Amino acid sequence: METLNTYLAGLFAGVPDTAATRKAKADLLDLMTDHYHEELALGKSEAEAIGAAITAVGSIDEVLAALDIDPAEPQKSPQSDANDAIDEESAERYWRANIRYALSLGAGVAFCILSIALAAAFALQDSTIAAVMFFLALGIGVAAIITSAIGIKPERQRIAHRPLATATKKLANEKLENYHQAYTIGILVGILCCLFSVIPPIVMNAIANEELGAPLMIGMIALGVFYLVYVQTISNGYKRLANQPIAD
Amino acid sequence: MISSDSMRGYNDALILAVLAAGDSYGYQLEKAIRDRTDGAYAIRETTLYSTLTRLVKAGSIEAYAGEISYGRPRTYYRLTAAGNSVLAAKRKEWAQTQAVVSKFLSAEE
Repeated sequence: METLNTYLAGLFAGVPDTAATRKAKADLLDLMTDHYHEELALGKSEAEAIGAAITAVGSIDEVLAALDIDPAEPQKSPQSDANDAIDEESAERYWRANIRYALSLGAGVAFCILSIALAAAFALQDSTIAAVMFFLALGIGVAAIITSAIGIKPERQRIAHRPLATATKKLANEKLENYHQAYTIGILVGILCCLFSVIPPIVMNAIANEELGAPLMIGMIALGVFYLVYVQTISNGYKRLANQPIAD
Repeated sequence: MISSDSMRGYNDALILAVLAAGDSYGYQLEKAIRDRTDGAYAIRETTLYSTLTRLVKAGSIEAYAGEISYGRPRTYYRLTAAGNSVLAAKRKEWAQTQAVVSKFLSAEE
């Protein structure tokens, strides 16, 4: 049954979503389902029944012609009119949420990496404390990642598939341009942290405190990853709106 | 089995004729056409649906919600008075068409 639904959805892909096309789709699904059940009643296997129901469908173009729909005409989004365009206030709200998301996501990933560093550092004193610290940091990290994802989802849905007001497009481009310097610095700091993370073990070895070398190295990597995730996520938020079309 | 192309132009009349015997729904119409032609003509489901849509628009038939099937009301169709007139005209036209074409294509005796 799901196969018939999927097949029909494929036939109607790209067809404007109107009450008439929804009705046509539902009626055709009834036809196919009746056909499928009759084939089953005749003793056909499920695969044969599905095959027979699909074979009997025919061309969707006939239906579209009867509904006065031109399949070559691009589909206009029901939300693409100017009244539904994203204004500057909505865009600012999304960007603020995106910055919180970037912070939370970056911290979450960093904490997950840090959990290894903490386990390594505390393992020198007590394995129980090391285990507790590991799971604590990991838990914080995972919670931060999940919370960030839950928090940004409604904000993304709010702006999804909506055009921009002209002023918002301009603002998005300005934001993206203004953020470029901070983005470059953030990426550079992130990469340098990762690259220079080899220094702490070398230094710690030199001062005969080699046990702290690995935790510090992982800590620096966590910091570097935080910067990379943070600036990249913020930049993506500006790009997301800057790339959306302007309302008609 | 007769091709869809050969039957193009007759689908409206076939559906009107089936509905003249009583209200029906999509698959029942498809099955009635197949059964009455002993399987010689199986109308495509999209052809059937587009023909029904055209006939509704023309006022020859009416669609209404019938019993619940697969969780939603099944769409039934009934012949209207206008549809009845169209069917009568189609019958007359067919008799004339058949008489004319037969003069050329009937098997020689």
